[in-house]
Amino acid sequence: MIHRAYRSGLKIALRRWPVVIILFLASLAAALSFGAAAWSWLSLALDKSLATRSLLNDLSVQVFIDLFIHHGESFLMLLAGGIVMTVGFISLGAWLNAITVAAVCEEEPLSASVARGSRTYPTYLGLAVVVNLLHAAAITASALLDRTLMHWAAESTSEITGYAVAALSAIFGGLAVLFFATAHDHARIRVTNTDAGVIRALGWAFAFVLRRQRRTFPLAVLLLATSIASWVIYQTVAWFIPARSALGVASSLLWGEVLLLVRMFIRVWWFAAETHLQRATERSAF
Amino acid sequence: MACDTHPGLRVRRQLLPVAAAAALGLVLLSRAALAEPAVSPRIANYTIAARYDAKTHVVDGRQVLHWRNATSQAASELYFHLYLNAFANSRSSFMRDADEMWARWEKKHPDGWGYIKVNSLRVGGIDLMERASFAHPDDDNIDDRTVLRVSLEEPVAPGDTVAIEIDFEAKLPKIVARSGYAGPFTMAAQWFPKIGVYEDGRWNCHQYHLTTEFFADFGVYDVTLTVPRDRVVGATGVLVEKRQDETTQTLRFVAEDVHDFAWAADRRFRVIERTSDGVNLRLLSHPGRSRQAERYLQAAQVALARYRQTIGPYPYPQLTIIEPGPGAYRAAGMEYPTLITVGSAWWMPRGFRLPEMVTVHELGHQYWYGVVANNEFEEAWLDEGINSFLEGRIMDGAYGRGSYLDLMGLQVDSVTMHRLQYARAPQYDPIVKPAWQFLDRSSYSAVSYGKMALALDTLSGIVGDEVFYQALQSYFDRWRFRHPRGEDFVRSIEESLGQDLGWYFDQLLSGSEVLDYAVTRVRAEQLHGAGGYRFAGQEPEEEVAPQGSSERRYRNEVLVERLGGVALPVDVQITFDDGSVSTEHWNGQERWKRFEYTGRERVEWAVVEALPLDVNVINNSRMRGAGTRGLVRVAGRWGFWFQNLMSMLTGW
Repeated sequence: MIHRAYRSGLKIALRRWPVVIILFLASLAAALSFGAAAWSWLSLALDKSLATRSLLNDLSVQVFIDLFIHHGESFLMLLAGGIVMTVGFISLGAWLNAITVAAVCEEEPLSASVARGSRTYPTYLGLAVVVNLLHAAAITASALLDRTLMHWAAESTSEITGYAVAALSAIFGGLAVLFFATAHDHARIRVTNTDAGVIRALGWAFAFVLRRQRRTFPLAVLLLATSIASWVIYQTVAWFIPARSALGVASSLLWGEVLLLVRMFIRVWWFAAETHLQRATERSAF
Repeated sequence: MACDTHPGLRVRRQLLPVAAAAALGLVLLSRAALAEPAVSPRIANYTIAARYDAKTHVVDGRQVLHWRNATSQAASELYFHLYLNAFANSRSSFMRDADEMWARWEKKHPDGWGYIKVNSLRVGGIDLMERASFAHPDDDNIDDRTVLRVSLEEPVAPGDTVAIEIDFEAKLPKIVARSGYAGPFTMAAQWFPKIGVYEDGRWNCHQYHLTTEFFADFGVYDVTLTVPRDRVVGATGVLVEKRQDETTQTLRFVAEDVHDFAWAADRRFRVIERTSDGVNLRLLSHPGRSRQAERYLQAAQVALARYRQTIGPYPYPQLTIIEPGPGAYRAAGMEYPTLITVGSAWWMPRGFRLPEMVTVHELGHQYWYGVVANNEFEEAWLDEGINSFLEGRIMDGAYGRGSYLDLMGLQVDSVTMHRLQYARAPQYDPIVKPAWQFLDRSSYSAVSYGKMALALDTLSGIVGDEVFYQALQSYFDRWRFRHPRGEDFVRSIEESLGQDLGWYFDQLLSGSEVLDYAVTRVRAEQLHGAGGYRFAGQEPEEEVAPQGSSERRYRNEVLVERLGGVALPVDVQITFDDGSVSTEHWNGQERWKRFEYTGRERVEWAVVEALPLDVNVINNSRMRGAGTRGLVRVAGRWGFWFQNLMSMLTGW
């Protein structure tokens, strides 16, 4: 069933390539808007300093130290702008996710998917807020666990205990985040399919993921591995692109955008595969 | 030693066994002295017998101190440091300075306080504790109990030696700063009553503050420690004797010509020994840190070799390197005579050279603090600054451009590192200032470490590295095993370099102004060869351009300004559009200097030399037109990271 979901998801993602393009353009808009803000701040802070040229081939730490010290306040403004943009993009992301799930759930024109996605958008936004809070709670719990166990490990005669504690805490945090992220996906699909509310959809998804953990988790891990593999390929190639000339910098940025495009494709693939799994599981339950 | 002139020595027969050990120590010392003259004045000589209870973290100690009045004036009082009382309660000067930082510590370790109590202090068999009181020479804090003052029955005459027997009890705190315990790890530093330094008829014995370190006279330490048998111990000096019974072990360490004694114990310690430059390096590390251990040892070897070449050989047979375990990082990064503490984390990548930096720095303190023993309370810059400068040079020499950090394309060398430190608070305090009078810890470290290191880097750049190293070596030779003051350092450097450096040191040591040169204008205006009128005698005539002249000429202007209060000579490089470069020298005294050129070339950019002390390197250069290529790289990269972050947060 997992294998079929994986393959079916891939086929649907290939058919729904316009959605991939939309997601990519939205993420590109994020890059351009923050990049433009950063450009504006840098050109004001550096003025006509030679650093505006030398940073191309020498990311001098000295320059950055002075930038943050002598232009710290305006840098905070840039960060504040970044936070506002982040909120905006999370909000936009919820809408685009609603459209994406609608598009992979039904064979329908994209305009119909947009309409359905827009209808479920408020619920998607609510889900995003709740799940991000759960993620934060999981990470905090993991850190607290690490701290508590480390305190105990300080009395240990073997430092390996310390390594084990760090690994255990990281695994705990990672599993919790994976669980909430997987449940989030299934809740979103549930909302699109049944118009359920935030709590009901999330409750259903928690139960579904836990009950069907032998299917939901392996699929999530498989898709996560695909995503990580794309990142590894990106990094391997990026390592060989010397960003010490205008051409090198342009090539490096372009290659980065290829990675983002692939990640968008994997995201659509992921939703499609999970939708297939959810439906197949429900069918087999009857 | 003149031991027969004071009443204290006429009652030796009444002394307890520790005094016998003290006498034995003195005999051994005398024999050693006969064989080879002592390299230090050996003013304060301690014989200590101490037993450590690892469950209560209490040290029960008995010490006999032979103190010689090496001044020309009699001493009617004695002053002792009781450092551990800084951690006795929240009312000590140390804790008051520490404020919120230690409030957090107190919350976390409500039972972690420590103290040191003098049970008896006898001179000539008479207990003087009735005459003892706590002194607070630095502030009005009557609750601070880190300095003990004792009036003597009879003054100690110049040249006389007095024997002082002290019974004390020291409870180590949960590690707050430097000293204490954490799990099975124990760091015993500043753990015994320690006499101040008698100078010119007054005691130099400051309270323990958040920002202060130490100052003491040289001597011989003969210390016998009884600790649980399972503990591995590292200490100042060398181990000369070891006995064991079923539950405890007794270790005797002797250290000559040092001015403090510290020890550490942990049952988890793994001992790695290596000989380098004739010095036995004894590393006490933790299991599972073999990679870190090798990094400490390699850095120590590099530093020993470099110091031997530039300053002088390490003067002791052994250096003990302690790596405090997990949870004990507050004990890391400290120096004691022939013993240093280092620190790291198991995950520390190779390009993050914190283990190396700490090792090189603390080893350097064996020279600056250990051998050249300045007063760290009053002139911390004298050891911290010189040591930070040489640490930087050794790190750069050993590890290249990314000597402190070489990760993911980011490279940090010593000047960058010290600038980062200095930039945190460059303008509040001058370098020459008692450590406890700085605005805060940030200003103290920015100035005493960062600014002083950069000042020496800058000076070295002005006079030349080779002669500057020779000057430092000469200062070391002149002041080894003595207590130099700041003026001694300046005089020594001036004499070595053969020049008056008042113009340099006055503004940098005594002032809190900053150095900041900037190119503020780069212009090229085309000259219109003809126009208007010219005068032939009294008559104006219309000026006419020569026929066929199409050559363009420019009036180029470069304006350099001194934005800070510090004035040093600088070079200014002006680059023209044909690739030619003109280098100008400016004494930097005025607030600004204009450079003008007329010719066929246009100025492209100008750079005023970025001296290490310059607080802003961005404004040290200026182009005629705006550059963009560097901005594309940085802004593009930040945009890409933001894009990735958004993708992650939105679940793409």
